Parts: sequence; structure tokens; C-alpha cells
Amino acid sequence: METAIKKYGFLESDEAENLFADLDFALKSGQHIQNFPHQTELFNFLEKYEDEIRLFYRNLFRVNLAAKGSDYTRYFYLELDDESRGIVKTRSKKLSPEYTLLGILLLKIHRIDKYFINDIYVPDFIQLIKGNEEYKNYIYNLFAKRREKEATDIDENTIDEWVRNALKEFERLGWIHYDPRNKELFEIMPSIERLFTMYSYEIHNIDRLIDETNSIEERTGGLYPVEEGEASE
Amino acid sequence: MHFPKILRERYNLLVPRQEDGLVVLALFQKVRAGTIERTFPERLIVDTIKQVYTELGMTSARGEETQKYDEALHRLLRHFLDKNLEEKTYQLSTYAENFCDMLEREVHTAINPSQIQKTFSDLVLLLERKLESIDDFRHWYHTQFFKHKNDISAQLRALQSQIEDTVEQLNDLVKNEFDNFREMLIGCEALLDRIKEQADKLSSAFSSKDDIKQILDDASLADEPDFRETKREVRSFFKDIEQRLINVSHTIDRIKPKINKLYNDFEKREFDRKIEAFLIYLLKNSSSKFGRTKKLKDRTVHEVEVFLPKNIITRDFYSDRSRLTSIDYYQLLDPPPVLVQDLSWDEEDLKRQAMLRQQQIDREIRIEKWISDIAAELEKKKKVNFADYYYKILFKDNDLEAAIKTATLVLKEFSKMENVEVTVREEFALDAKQPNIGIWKLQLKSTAS
Repeated sequence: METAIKKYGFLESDEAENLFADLDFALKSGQHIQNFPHQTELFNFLEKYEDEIRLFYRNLFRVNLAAKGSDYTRYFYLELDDESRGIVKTRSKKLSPEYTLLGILLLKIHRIDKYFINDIYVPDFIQLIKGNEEYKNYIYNLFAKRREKEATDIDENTIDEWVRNALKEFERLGWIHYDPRNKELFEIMPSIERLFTMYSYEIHNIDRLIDETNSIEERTGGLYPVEEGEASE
Repeated sequence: MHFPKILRERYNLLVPRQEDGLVVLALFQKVRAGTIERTFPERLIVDTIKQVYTELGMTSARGEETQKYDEALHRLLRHFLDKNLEEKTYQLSTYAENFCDMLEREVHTAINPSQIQKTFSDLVLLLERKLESIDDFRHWYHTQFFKHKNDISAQLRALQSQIEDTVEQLNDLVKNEFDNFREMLIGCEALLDRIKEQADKLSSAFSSKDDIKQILDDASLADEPDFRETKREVRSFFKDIEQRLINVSHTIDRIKPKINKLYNDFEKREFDRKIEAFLIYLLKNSSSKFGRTKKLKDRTVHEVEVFLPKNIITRDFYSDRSRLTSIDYYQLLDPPPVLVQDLSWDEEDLKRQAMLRQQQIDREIRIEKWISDIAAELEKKKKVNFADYYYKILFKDNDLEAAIKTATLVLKEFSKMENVEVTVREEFALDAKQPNIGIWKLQLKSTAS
């Protein structure tokens, strides 16, 4: 017992009484913790006892406490690594295709177009997506099966709903943070980079992916439908 | 200024114009490569002149070429070509060979730190033996030192010109969008690394200069003004070399961060392009399935299920709230004990409640029946005194509550009807059988025609 206490000494600390339950809940909900005002206490606690906490989750829950980024962009999260994946298969949740699409879109707009600096106003964001010449047609096609000009109120609402639901999910994951005083304003957190790391292989090899898809299209005359149901597995 | 007269007169022949110099250099390179013999016919010289002129874009009017080539040949014959009158062949003069050798060394000096190191150790060895007299020292300075001084300077010039070439390449890279930008940048960086490495090696090869400086300081010739003057020159040459080496390092240190920035910009540009391409790929190749329309609080939406392209797998993240930490020795999150409820039934009470409910239902049925009787009588006789019914209910049903509820309902329902007039007089209608109960006179009158 004594060894255990020394090993996980952070549980005996004064901060643990106030913070550990929240931290544990957040991490196990899949949340990412970073050094931003709403998470500063949890972040500092994690950084202070980083090694002990990592050991704690590794030994007791067979899960890895990952840390990515540096300085202001540093963030923590729990992940199933190759070792634990086989043992604890059920302890994970998929990021749905809808949310994945919006995540990549949000990052593209934020990182590349530099359209927004800090706070993003949700209606502006929706308007930007619906008005972008490059991809609005694909979006209307996916969520309304129509072109923008022919879209009805229901179609427009469906797109709005997609964006808002995805943002809610991202807030739960700690990838964005809503302004507590104005729930229509949100800020992108450094941990949204996790989405890039999740798809880094595909992003780096995108040219090859496109070539492969084009060659399949050429062979099949464009008949390359996604078999519904399989795609989301 | 006093130049020898002959030098002044022949200067333009000793120092050739560009086209002549290049012809000589071309011949020199051909001989060295073995593509032409050491002695060659006039035809080969004319061919070379033609090649050089074409390359320099020096075209002449028709018929004038031969004369131009002939003039060039004559100029070269003064110092650069020797003619064998018997065999009618030509060969490059020693002056031409030295000239070419000098040109090539100036432009393409191979950086050779080990050679420099050897040169320096020779200089040191010789110097140690040449400090007996000022004449010996002068000899060392004018033969050994002066000769090697040029080699050393050439090495530094070579380093500097390599840097200049690399910088030019980098500027080109920034100005133009090359397809192989990244490869070219890597090439430039490797070049700079090599230059820096060579500069470091040269720097350590030059370390023997400190030995020379020390030997000169310790020499017994310090009283000789000539010695002191020469010593100053040697020291100033070394100082110059040191400074130039430092400059090489500084230049490279200044370029390096710029290269890194170029890398970052490029990597970012490339990464951004890939993210954009990935996004469009996802949007273009994803599909969706529509379910029914869904009504939400203040809007209606389609129920849509999206499928990513077949070759893109959705990613998962850790999520397991069922295993929140609960450690036996540290009861942080133990839930409170569950209270087991004792669920026993009171059979008697259940029966009583059922009976009461049944009585209520029966009463409601009876009231409904009375109301319909009253309505029927009203339609038939056009007038009803409710008090009659009131006492009838009391008498038949023996249920005061039913009588009162019927009275209330009659008042409420019939007052609403357009063709019924309800009047209440504040006089009691009494019944002898019910001495303790009274009701005001309530009359319903049908006004329907």
C-alpha cells in the first residue's frame, strides 16, 4: 500500500481534492486539456504531476496519457495505444463522418484562409461555408441533394444543424471553446491539431489517393459508389 | 608611372580580348582532354574561332567572316600560338598554357585544406632555418611565403565564390517557382554545409600561422627595420585571412536561418495545399443517405447519414466514462449506498380505494343520465323546474353530492345554450321529505320555436 501511495503521490496532494475528479472525468470523456483559461487549473495539475499521472493511467487503466505540442500549444489527452487497443477495444468512440468533414473544414478555414483571428461567430462561420465557391456545391449536394439555388429552408436548416452539432461535439472534445458570455462565439483550441495527426497519413499521401481514385473512376467510368454502411465502419 | 614601353605597346596582345581569350582556353581544354593533338592544323583553330564567335553571338556580314577569323589568328600568333613553319602546324605557347592555368585556378580552385596544412608546416620548417640573417629571411619571404600566399588567398576566394554561387541559386529559387523547389533547397543547404565544413577545416589548417607569428616574435632579427616591416606584412596577411574566414562563417550563419524560413514556408505551403486537397477529396467523394424529415423545436431538418470515401476510415478517440476512477483506498468517487425499498402492499386499503373509485364512476354515469333526462323534458315540455329533479335525485340515489354536482352542471351547461333561458329566484323550493335541505328556485325555459 505504501508503495502505491508513493507511486501515485499526486492523489495525496491538496490540489487533487479539488481537481482530480474533474480531470479524470474530462480525460475519460475524451476531452483534450490545454493551457487556456477555462482549463488552466487542470492543465497545471497535469503538467506538475505528468509522469505520475501517466503511470497511474497506464497501470490502472491500460491507457496512455499523451502530450502533444509545445509551450502554449501543448495539450493532453488519453489514447488507446497499440498495446492497449487489443485489450480494451470497447473504450473508444468514433468521430462520425459528418463531424470529421466539419473538423477538416474548420481547420482549413482557420489555418489556411486565416479568415478568423480569435473568436468565431457561429452564423458567420455557417455563412462562410455556404458561400465558399470551392466547396459549397459539395456541401449542398451532401446535405440537401440539391444545388444552393434550389435549396429549401429545410435544406438550409440541415446544414446549420450539421455545423452546430459538430461544434458541440468539438467543444466536448476540447477542440473548441465557446465564450461563456456568448454562446454564439467560439475559439479554436490548439488541440484541434489532433485531427491532423489522426489523418496525417492520408494528408501526406493525398496526391496518391487522388490518383488512385481517378484511375478507378477511369476504369469503371465513374461508377465508384461508396457502399453505404461500410464506409462508416 | 614608368611602365616598360614594350608592355604598354603589347598590353592588348598580352591580355587578350574576351573572344581571343576564350579561343585560347577552348584550345587548351581540347588538348588536355585529348580531343585534338598537341600540335594542330590551322583548320582546327578557325573551327574553334567560329564556335566561340557563334556562342558569343558575334555575327559578321557575309564575306567578312574569313577576314575576321584571319585577324583573330594573327592576334593570337603574337603571344598565344606558336607556328611550326616546316610542318605548317600550330601549338599553344607556354604563355598561353600559363594564362589558361591561371584562369582556371582563379575560377575553380579546389579547396584543399590538407594541402594548405602541408604548405604551412613547410613554411614553418623553412622559416626556422632562415632566421639567421636578414638576407635568408628576405629569401624566405620572397620565395616561399609570397608563393604560398597566393595559394592561401586562392582557397579563400574559392570559398567566397562558392557562397556567392549558392546565394545566387537561392535568390533564383525565391524569385521563381520551381517544381523541384524542395530538392533545390536541399541542394543549396547541403552546399552551404559543405562550405562551412571546408571553412572550418581551412581554419584549423591555418593554425600553423600562430607558430609562424611566434617564431617571428622570438627571432633575433628584431632590430632590423626591414625585418620588422616584413614581419608586419606577414602578420597583416594572416589577420586578413582570419577576418575573411570569419566572414565566410558569418555569411553562412546569416543565410542559414533564411533557408530554414524558406523550408518552413515551403513545408507549410505544401502542407496547406495537401490539407486543401484532402478536404476537397473528402467532400467530393463522400456520400449521404437521407432518412425522414425531423421536426425540431423551431425548425425542420433532414435526417442525413454521411459516409466518407471508402478508403478513408473514421478515427476513434478514447471515451469511457464507465470506468471513472474509484480506488479502494482513496474513496474519491464512490457512489452513495443504494437504499433498497421495502415494497409490501396493504391489501385492505387497495380494496377500499378500488371501491371509492367505482362509486365515483357510478355517480358520474348517474349525473350524465339525469342531465340527459332534464334536457329531454325541456325539449318536450319547454319548461323544467330543476328543484323537482333535485329532490328526485336525493330520493332515488340518496346521494347529496350527486344532486349538488348535477345542479352545478345544469347551471353551467344550460346557461351556455342560446335557446334556453335559465332563471334563478332567491326563494327556496322545499320538499317535505327532506326537511333539512333547501334549494333556490331554478327554472329552465326553452325559447326555441
